[in-house]
Amino acid sequence: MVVAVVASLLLGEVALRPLEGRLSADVRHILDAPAQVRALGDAPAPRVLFVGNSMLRCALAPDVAARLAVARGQPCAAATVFMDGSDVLEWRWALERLLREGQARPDAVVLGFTPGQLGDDNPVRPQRLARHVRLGDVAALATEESLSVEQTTHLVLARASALVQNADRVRTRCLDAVVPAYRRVKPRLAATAAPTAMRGGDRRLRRLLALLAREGVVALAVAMPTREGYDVSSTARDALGGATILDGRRPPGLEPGEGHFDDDVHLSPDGAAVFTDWLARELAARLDRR
Amino acid sequence: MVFDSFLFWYFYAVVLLAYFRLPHRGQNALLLGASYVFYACWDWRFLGLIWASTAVDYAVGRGLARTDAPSRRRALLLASVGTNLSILGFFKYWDFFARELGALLAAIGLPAAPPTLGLILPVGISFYTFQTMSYTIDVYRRQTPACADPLDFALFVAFFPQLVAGPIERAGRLIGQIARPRAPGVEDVRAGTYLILIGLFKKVVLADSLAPLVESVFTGDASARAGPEVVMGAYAFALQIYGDFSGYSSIAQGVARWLGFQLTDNFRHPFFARDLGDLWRRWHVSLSTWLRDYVYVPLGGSRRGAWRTASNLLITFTLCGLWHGAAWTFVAWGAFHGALLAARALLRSSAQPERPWALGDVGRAALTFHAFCAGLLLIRAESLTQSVELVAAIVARPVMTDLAAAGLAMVAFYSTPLLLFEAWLERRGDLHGLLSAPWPARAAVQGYMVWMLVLFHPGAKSVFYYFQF
Repeated sequence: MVVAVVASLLLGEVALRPLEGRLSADVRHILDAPAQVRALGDAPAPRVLFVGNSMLRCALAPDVAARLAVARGQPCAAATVFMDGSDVLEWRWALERLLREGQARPDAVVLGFTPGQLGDDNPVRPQRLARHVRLGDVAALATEESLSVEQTTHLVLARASALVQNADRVRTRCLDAVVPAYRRVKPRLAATAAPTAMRGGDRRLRRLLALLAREGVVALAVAMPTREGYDVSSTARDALGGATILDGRRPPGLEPGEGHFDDDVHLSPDGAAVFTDWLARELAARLDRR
Repeated sequence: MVFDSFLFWYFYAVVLLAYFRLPHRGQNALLLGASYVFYACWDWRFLGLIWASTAVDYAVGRGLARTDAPSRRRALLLASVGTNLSILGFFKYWDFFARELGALLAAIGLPAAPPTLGLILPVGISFYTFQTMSYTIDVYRRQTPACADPLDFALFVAFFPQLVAGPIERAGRLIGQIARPRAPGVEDVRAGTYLILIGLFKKVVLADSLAPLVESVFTGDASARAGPEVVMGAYAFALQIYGDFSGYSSIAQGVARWLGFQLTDNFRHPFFARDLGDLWRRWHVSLSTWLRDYVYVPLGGSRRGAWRTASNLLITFTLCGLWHGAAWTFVAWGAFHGALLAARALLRSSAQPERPWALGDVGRAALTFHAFCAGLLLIRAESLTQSVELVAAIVARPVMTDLAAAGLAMVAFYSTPLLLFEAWLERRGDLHGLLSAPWPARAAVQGYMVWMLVLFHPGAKSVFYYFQF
């Protein structure tokens, strides 16, 4: 019987690996990221890599490279790495992996952020990090983030098993299929979870910026637009000291009342066109200056 | 260090590795040390309470063994019961009674307010004090011999698989297993594995997945809830505490089984009970039998007519409510069950004999389940006022909302396979019937549980609910 259970798990593991890209566009994108970044290696400079979460995914028009080229008046290569629901910790480890394994180095990395995604308060999510962290990195990550035994074990298991790594996506897919209004209720249920202890600080961001500096990559940070708007605090500005900050909270022409937002934080395709053109102009000026 | 943490399983692996390399006495010493480490991981400061309880009850047991004088025996018993109830009363009930006494004095115009101490409730205190008290009462009644070996007795009090949330074991059952050499075999490993697996499934998949639904209904402004939301919350909470507590008990049994111990079955498919009396023979069995043997029967049980039976039930279940927590919601919950059982005792002359399931029993089981859920609106509410608001919402706002629809679907998704499995076991009349089922059935059920554990582990853990008792 134990054999049957182990065999069924192994079967699931083998079956899921080729299928995991179909679980969500997000996973597909993460799996494709190394190849995208590698493709930058053949392109003429400047090569720009955009890194962020679904806010940046929705805010960048698919032809961002072409718009950037128009703004510069010269060809420009761009690649994107979007990880839905991610924050600075996941961006940092994704970049560690991409810069190490991508066999290509972008000239500039553009981070799309809101202040809540830059600090050290967000919880560590081992399942998510497992996509980017090698087993050899586990000790370093555990030390940096003071991971508990639970988190470290979960990270190792998720690193080793596609089933564990994709469990939340499989769960969401299944519950979406059988539970009415699950997507609408899910945030309300998530809000009932006990709050995690606030650590404060910006060590994660500083490590990310140090990584880019070490690799000789220019760091640019774009404050992303939201319907309500927000303050970019002086703390965030201080933490981003090593990066150029582009204020994209309300670029000219981007209006919440004009159908430019799909929801409170995600731009519609029309909004994305406005935002991308603005960003292309801002980047063109800065990239050429360097 | 909880059973559904990796830390516990690392700890347990170390204990197991050492355990099988030691002779019998060494095993007991190891288990005792491990039990104290296990408890110290919760809060080492309260180890002293366990030691005090152990020392007093060991000495009382030895004293009872040495004397036949009734007055001295009674004095020894009182010393044991008094010590244990004092520990329990001080840590669990002091603040509650001090607050209520203060409120009462204020109500009659006296300004004196007894001090509240803000004490932390030592984890497991309700369980191990009841366990050691049962020992001295049984020795007093000459139903079990006094334990001669202090090491064995200390292990009886502190045995880590059941130290913090039961099952509340009787000395006659557990001390014998401690004193005898144990040689767990293949059957123990198989049974233990099954118990651990189903326990983890109930806790991690069922209870932890339903916990956010329960929180969303019972936290905050109850007057804003729609009726179906409250009903869904009650269903979800019934299944959550069942998964939580029966899951913990199963894991405790499995962990002990690998060590060669057999612990009491604490839950016997309670949602298949056909009336409330039946439910209490299936729910938290080690507590309900404890209350039966040490409270209900000494009060006279059912031997002195229907009215006396009814009042005994009311007293016993009100105390049962108080055992669960120091708040009026718990007292009301106990009294609610006591009142329903008392009414049943008055309306029915004798207990129904065990009989096979019939079609009409489905309705009885559903009615019993809903009575149980109604009681939960008392125990889970933050106050009696909130309980009333929740009940009012059921009647006043029968509006199906997204939360109610999604919650009911989630309750069905997580609980239906388990309840179908339990129906199958109930039909076989064997609580552990899966172990003797053909291997494809075993593989299918255990495979399902493992898959659900891997894929439907909700991430956020909720603490074992019964630890607060």
